[in-house]
Amino acid sequence: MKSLPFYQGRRTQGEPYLPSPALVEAVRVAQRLNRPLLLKGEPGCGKTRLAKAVARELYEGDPAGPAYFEWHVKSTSRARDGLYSYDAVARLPEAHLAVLRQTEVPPVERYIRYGSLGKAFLSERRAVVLIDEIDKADIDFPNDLLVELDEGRFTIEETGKEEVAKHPPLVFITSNDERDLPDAFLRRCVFHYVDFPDAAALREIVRAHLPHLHEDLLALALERFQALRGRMVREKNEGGKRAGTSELLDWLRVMGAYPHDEVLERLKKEIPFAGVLLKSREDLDRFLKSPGAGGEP
Amino acid sequence: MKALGLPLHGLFQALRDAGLPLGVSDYLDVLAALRMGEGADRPALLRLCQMLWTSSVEEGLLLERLFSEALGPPLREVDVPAELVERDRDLALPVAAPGEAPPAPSLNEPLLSEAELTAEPPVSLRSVEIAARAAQGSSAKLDLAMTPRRLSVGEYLPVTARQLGQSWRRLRRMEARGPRTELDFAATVGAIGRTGVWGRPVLAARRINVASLLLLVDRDGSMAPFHPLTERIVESAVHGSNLRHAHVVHFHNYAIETVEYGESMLALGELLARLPAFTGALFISDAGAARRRYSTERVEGTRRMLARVGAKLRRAAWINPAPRSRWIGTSAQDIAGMVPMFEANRAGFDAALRVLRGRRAVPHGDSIGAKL
Repeated sequence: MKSLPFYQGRRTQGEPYLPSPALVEAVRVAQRLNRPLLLKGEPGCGKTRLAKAVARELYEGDPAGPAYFEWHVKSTSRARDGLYSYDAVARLPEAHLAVLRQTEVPPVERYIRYGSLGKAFLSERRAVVLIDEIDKADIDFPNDLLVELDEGRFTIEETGKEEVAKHPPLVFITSNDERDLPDAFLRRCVFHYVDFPDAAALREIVRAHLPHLHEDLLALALERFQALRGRMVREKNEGGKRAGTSELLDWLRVMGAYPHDEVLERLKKEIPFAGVLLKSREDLDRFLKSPGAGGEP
Repeated sequence: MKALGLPLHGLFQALRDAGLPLGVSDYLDVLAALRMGEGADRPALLRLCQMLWTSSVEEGLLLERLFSEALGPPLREVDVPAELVERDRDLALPVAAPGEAPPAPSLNEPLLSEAELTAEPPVSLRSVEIAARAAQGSSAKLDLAMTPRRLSVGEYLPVTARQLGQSWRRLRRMEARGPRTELDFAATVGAIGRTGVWGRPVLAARRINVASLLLLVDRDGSMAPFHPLTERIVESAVHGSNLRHAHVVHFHNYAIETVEYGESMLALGELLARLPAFTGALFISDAGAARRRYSTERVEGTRRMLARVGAKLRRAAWINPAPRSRWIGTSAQDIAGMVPMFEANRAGFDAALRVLRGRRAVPHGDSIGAKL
């Protein structure tokens, strides 16, 4: 079943994604064992974007584009919805109308819509699926998908038809770790925690996204950011929100939109546009106004 | 004939002893990955084990510690009687002959030789069993190679996090809440039947679990030794359960007017006013049993606290970390007569949740009130 090569973490066209070697290895292990890859990590560290980056690389050069499906789980999501949904509310009046007019009742199949996971199963090419924020849903939700993920098949109850995946999809699952996930599900997955990138990797990521940013602005901004983040890591407890990669990129984009000299001057004295990095009153008070904010010794 | 001990078996067993829910299939997964060429050096092997055997950063750190202990000295060879050796191959790891100094595993040196990596026959369950039997047979030699058993903190507490999680899930209250998006088939058909005319489909909201819980945790000095237990209960209720809301407040011995909510004080009346009446109230306190004291003040204060909470919340139960035998002659004995009180073990916990679900407390051995 080696229809797709192993992911290597190359840069492809479109938005660049630079995974760590450990993450590339985890994707490869998941591919080899044909298991879902469960990703945890700080918000804004790139867990959600990995799946699309993998799809883009594996289907690079394919004129039909990547076979990629996304499912953003909500607190009201049910496992079945990711596979398919049956629009009973639409069928009832149409069936009634058909009976009145004595025409043929429309078949059930017409009212079956496939969800992201269902579409991935039915895809002619081996698909990449993202199940995002699985911990938002009910505690039974992950277990309700186990059999389908294991066997690559599901049954549509309303028609009795069994759909079998031509190629078992490559599944990526993210969790914000707000709720525990059931053991049976965890055992099924390959697990990887996406760490915050180190200084060198962070610089590479920034350069990849913002190639035209002035070097002196970039260097000073990174220094400020690292100092701020260091303080947040030390002073906030485990669950506290810290400024992450996506906030850093947003911050740099904002600064890049302003005249270079002006922003550089501001950056030397303070943290401009702090609201992009610090998202609460408490954080702004603590990290901006007290001495040592902005990386001064 | 020499066969090797199971690779990584000591580590695997240590993880199971530490409470990780791992089974044979997890072990075989790692072997399968090894055969495919993953885990080819020591750091990669560590990462591979973390990928397949852990699901959180904490578990990963535990595994890393056990990994260093287990793989410090390499696995020893085991003498196996010829008839136990089959054609199926086990994986080979570099080992020291007895008497030699064990080779330090270098970072670049692959743990599997080329031959191993390209070997075709699958690691069958049978060969795993054979090696296990051989390992058991020569226990004297292997004891030296096996890691010392480590008990995690979890082993010392009367309920594990998983047991708690399973118990919390029984606390359910299904109500239709939210936007009406589901077809209420029976009602729709009924409506058509009554009027004979197709009108509109009758929609209903989805049923979700609205069970809500108020945890009142005693933070007095006498409760300090039970802190890991209360922390675990609170943590499992907030993160590991299916409850819609789990509110946690603290008090010292008893509380009538105010309780501690996070970092600040909160008026008890105000808190109770905000909660739906079906919220269950679970008290966690030794009720004086830890210090073996009887205090009229405490008993009275607790009575008033229970009355205050009970006026709004119909269902209340009490978990006492001290064993039942210590309740007699202390404030706990009297308090147990006012509210269903249970020990902090699996049975007691389940009984308390039964009370919170509105069932009667099981009489035998669960509530001290019934015994006296």
